[in-house]
Amino acid sequence: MWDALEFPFFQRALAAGLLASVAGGIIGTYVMVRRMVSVSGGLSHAAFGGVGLGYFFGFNPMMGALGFGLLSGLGVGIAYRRLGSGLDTIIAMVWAVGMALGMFFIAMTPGYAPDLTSYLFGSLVLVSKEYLYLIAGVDIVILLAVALLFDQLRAIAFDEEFAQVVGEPVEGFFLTLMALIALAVVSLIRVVGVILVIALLSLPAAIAQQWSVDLKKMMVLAVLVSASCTTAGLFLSFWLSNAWGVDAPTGPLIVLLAAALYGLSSAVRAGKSEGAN
Amino acid sequence: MKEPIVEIKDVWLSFKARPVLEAVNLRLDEGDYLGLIGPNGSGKSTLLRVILGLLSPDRGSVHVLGESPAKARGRVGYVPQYTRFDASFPVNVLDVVLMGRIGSRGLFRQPSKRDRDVAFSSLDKVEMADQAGRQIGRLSGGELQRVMIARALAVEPILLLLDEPTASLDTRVGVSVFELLKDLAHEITLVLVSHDVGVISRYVKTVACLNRRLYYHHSKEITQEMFEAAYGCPVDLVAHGHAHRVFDDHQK
Repeated sequence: MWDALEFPFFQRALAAGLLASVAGGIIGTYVMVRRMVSVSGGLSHAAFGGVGLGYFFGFNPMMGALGFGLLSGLGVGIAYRRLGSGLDTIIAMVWAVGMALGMFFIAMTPGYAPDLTSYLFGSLVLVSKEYLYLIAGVDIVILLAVALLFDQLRAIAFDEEFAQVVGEPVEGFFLTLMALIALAVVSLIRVVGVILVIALLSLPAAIAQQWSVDLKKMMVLAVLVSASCTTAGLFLSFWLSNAWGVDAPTGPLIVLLAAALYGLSSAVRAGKSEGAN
Repeated sequence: MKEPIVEIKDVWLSFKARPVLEAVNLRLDEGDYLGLIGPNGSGKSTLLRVILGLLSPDRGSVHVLGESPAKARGRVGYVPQYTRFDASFPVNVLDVVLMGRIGSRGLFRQPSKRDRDVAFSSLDKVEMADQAGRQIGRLSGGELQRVMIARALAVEPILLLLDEPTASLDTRVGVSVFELLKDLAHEITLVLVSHDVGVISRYVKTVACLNRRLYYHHSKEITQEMFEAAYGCPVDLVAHGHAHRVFDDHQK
């Protein structure tokens, strides 16, 4: 099984999974404690609109996803805060409109039809070097933002109204958080696809939350859980394909592993608190 | 005369055409300890939120410490009625109290020694200094309420607004919170919102009744007109009920 490591495509896939886990684990932690899971789902589907635009206008679809994801994140944030619209409605809209635009522009694009499955469910093994740089860049931005604004972001995630009352510019920080979520989403799209991004932004952080009493530790644990799932999923997929000739898609495998781990973690956690009583 | 801590002039506010505050006037001076009573839905929390600048009135003016409520932020402490946050949030008591300091330091700055000192002395005031490292979700209701008060004190506020701070507490713990507030009232101007007329009048310096309109005479006495106007209750209840009896007790 370890011979997989000799293949450049496998090395890239491994690196992409690990790098994306940094972004996903850290931002997933905020998504979890601020209860923004549906926002992350909305932004990942919105980003697909950017993929379609990329194909249609002939630029890198992932750059399209990046730009479109960021704009959607800021748009959702501003609409939510300024218009007083219900967050549910806004999310439903960007979710569906993003997918619709993506499908529309891809259908309008002359020439060959791109492999949609790889965007919808991920394609770690097809990751390019450029995409690795993109995720690494996203990681740096996220790590910097969290290192510099840790207390502020935690304060608005914990109790936004109080943060506002003591004079924090909460709107700016809320939009910053939305932008960071959009960045994390883009870094995860090639790993598990737009449809499954929501899983890697919630499950590792949810598992981590069960074992953390400190936000920083929760982030570290979420990153480790996510990294374990992507790595295990990748090896499992390779092994299934080599030993059994089964072409098992990596993205869904990773998500199923994370879900199983969440079930296990919840069971152990519940058993523990029962034992404590 | 010194500048008022809070000056509200002719404030009107409605939500979706439903009037919540009508022609409210209120002046608070340094050292005041106002108890704000009124039935459910009478606009008590709304009035606090106007003072905090979380809501803007449709009409009228609000000045806090001589400035707009938004500009006065960082000098006003607030203890909300409900704790809206998630008990499973991974954060300890000290870090929550330090959130009271966050407005007074610049971006990108770590809490200073002074921030920590203030946070600890705030925890000390609510007798929770030995609990600084505990996770917030493991506290009892009374302990959590004390932490919320410590967080508001960590602002080092000139004005402290408390919205039903004892609503979720049993009587014994509630009384200890009121005793604490009584001590704080020597240093800070306080506004305490409650629907519990009996308890509130035992501790505060002056009482105002709110039911869309504010009835306030800068005194502790709840007149029959005030009570009737705010609660719409028969006079009989005022004469023989809780409010008056408690008031009498206090005078002995």
